[in-house]
Amino acid sequence: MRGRVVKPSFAVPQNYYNLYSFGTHRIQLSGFTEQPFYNGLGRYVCQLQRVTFKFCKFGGSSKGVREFIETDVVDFSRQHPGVVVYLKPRRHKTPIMVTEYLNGNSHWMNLRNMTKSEIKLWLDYMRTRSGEPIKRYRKKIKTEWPSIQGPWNPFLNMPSFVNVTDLPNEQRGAFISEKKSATQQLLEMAKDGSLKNILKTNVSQEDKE
Amino acid sequence: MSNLTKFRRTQQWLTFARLWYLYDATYQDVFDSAIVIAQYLRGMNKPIYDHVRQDVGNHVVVINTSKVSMPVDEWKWRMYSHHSRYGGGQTWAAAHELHSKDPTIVLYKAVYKEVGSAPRAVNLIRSPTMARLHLFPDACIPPEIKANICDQIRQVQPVLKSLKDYSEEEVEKFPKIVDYPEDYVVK
Amino acid sequence: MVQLTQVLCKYMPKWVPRFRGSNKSFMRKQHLLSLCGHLYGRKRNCFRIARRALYRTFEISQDKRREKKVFFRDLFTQRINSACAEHDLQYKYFITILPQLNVELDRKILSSLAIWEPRTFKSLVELVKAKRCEEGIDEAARNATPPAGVITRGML
Repeated sequence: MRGRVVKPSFAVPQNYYNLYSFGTHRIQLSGFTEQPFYNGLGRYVCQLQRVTFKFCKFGGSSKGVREFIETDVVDFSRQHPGVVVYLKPRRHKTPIMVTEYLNGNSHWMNLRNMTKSEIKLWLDYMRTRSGEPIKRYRKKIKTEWPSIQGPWNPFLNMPSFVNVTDLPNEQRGAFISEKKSATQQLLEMAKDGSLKNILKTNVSQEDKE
Repeated sequence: MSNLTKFRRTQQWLTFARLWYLYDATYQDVFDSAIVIAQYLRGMNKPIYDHVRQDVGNHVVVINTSKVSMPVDEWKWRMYSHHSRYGGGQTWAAAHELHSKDPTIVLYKAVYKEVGSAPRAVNLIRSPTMARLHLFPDACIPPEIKANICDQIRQVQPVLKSLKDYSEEEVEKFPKIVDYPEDYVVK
Repeated sequence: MVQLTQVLCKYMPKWVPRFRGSNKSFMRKQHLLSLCGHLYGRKRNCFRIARRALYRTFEISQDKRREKKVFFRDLFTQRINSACAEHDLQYKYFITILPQLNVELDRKILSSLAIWEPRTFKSLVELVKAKRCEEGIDEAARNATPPAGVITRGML
């Protein structure tokens, strides 16, 4: 296909599929826990922010949604004043429900031919969710501050004189052998005076005779 | 929701900073120093090294490449081949011939081999890794490159001195372990 | 093509198409196909090809599970090696002398210490250096200078 891909008008926005991840661990969404676990310890903040019902006033497939709106939607909004409920009638289309959460995620769901009680259950399921997608955890733990002393950096163990001196510097760059070389040992022996035993000059040979 | 504050972002930059290292190649073995240089190029001197997920390599500036050394007769026996991709287009050159034409190419080829002699994942980043190697035949470095250098790589072997490099005083002071016999004729 | 778990299938809305009749063989195939989502082409849609491809992935993943252990051990070794080299200590001395000091940390922990708690790692290195100088096993150990700030029983 050439050029820019133009999506059709009925295409569902990408962020509407945020809350599910399908398949095995290879293609699943993966990540770390990002839910506020303290939610509900003091006070509970409902993570669901708004619900939109789109339905038809005449169609048979949205009969259950219409019944739900007549009987239960007012009770629902009274019980949960934090959740905004939008009702959007539109002609000759299947009914859907879009739920939007505090963290910006949203979920799209089809309500075709569903009864009143089923919609009630699904809405309750969506209300109690945190807005985080179902995903595989790479690790069961997560910390915001992994390091106490500060993580390693390349300047940490570098001696400070390197910053001041002009490179190349012999102290920094010259080879250091673990063992002493023969020359070095010889010079040390000369200092100690232990070299005299080794040195055999002509004079010493004559003395022996 | 990412918690990347300004402090954390700079911490990240500091940890993954690419350093510029200097290496003095005077009288250093080509093949031994290529191993060390390749390690620094690939970032194997860092404890955060990971050859799968990220490239943490450093820059290495090598000076005095014209003074590199090879073991015993390696200059004579080591052959470098080149193929022009035409029929019968393969040519060979000994190391000393190649070195006389371009004093940086022997070290370049040695490092190129060391960088690639690792799992397949590394070969994908071979060319960007080699792009971070800067070779100079003498001690002259362009000022824009010299300004970046912040550390030096330790040499792989001692820089040997010949008898000419010592002054006469030092030669006289050096302890004597052998004495020539009286009838010995010095040429 | 998306496969659902059996539990979700039961509670799915009515508009989801479902296989009528005996579900036994269908569910068995669906379960297998659900494991092939990451494969390309007909390997993830056609049952007979998918089965062959899936068994092949099992073989590969079994090999990889064994390789993974070696791979990570090599990586941790490399990281400790580079961290030791910063403090002018060789890896072989570090890894052999630490258990003699009753510091029984494995390579995974040591490498993570080198990255996340570098000053702790430095103190471990200095301990090893002091021990090595004190014992003086080889010539290199005898020539090395002991690090300042480490007090051993021999000093007291």
